[in-house]
Amino acid sequence: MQGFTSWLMADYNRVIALVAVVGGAIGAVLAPFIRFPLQLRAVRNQERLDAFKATVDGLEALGRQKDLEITRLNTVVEGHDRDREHWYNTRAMLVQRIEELQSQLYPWPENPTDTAVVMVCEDDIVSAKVLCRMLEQVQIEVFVTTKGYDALRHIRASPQFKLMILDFGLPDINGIDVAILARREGFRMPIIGLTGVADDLPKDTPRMKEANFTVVLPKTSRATDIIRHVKAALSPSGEATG
Amino acid sequence: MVRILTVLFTWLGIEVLLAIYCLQYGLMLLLIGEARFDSVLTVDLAWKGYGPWLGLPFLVKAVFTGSGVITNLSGWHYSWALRFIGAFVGSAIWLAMLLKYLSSTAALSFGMVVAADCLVLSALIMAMSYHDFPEPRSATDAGVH
Repeated sequence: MQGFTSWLMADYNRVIALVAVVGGAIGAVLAPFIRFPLQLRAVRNQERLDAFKATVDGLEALGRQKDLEITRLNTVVEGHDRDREHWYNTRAMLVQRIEELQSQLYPWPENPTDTAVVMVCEDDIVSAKVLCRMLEQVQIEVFVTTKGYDALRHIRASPQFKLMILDFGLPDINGIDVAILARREGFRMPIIGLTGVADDLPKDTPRMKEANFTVVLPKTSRATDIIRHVKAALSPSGEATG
Repeated sequence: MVRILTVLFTWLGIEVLLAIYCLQYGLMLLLIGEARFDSVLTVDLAWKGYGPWLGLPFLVKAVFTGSGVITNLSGWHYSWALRFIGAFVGSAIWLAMLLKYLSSTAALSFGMVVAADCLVLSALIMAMSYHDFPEPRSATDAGVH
């Protein structure tokens, strides 16, 4: 011990190093008792749950307007951070409830008609409705599915599809992965990607190359642009012009 | 790019900034011999022959914090441990710097203020990483729509 003390006192840098390490260790021991991150997270979680709950309330109100039998969700939504399991379960329950209500309010056909040539895979009901209406106005029949694996199932079962329009943020699988899986299964049809962040998306990654999108369009694209790309993809040459 | 920068400079910004400082200074001490003699923090240690090792703590901190932030953004469940170790090493570095400044002729220099502030920030980062905040991937879970 005396040897250590004399070694330590021989150079004040050693004392500084020892104090620094001990100080850091004291900080590490005290870290669990600093509670502000928990409060930050609780506030943030509560905001997110409130947003989900507002969506559920809105859909339930819409359902009642349409005279549908909508059962009211009676759940206390609390984002207490002390019970993270509770928060995750509540969020999952609300997301499931939103999906149920959406499918009740906007029932999509379960199977495509023989004449549908374009498949739209989009989980946001409003975006999907707008896209459908846009394409139906130019006499292009559309089939909509809201999940990526459903899209894959339908292109396997129904060979009439000539074009797929894929949203990137799907509930079960990323849109890029849907395209990759389709390519791996040998489907060579044109695929148009739709995303909110098309400008920020790197185009030259191995995944994007394997997905081989005909074009990736931002969701803010004008209707005329989307229709032009769809028509070009459906044409025999398969390239947009102008 | 704008979205990535927004994420970095809101929730994990301080950690990224401290890691970048440490990476830069660590590389400078490692690669440029003269740098070791240019600061009251390192000059006496450099004369004693510890020069090649002086950059190591800074680089260790940068590596742990940097990998902690990257794994947090990509959703790894245990990224908090890397961030915690990075903040711990950082606290020791800032405390050592603070003591060194206070015991030197540059006690009231800008470097001392920076070291003191970084020490407080590192303590807060240790608390944040211990409580796993922000949760892995939550900084980017707005999703691609």
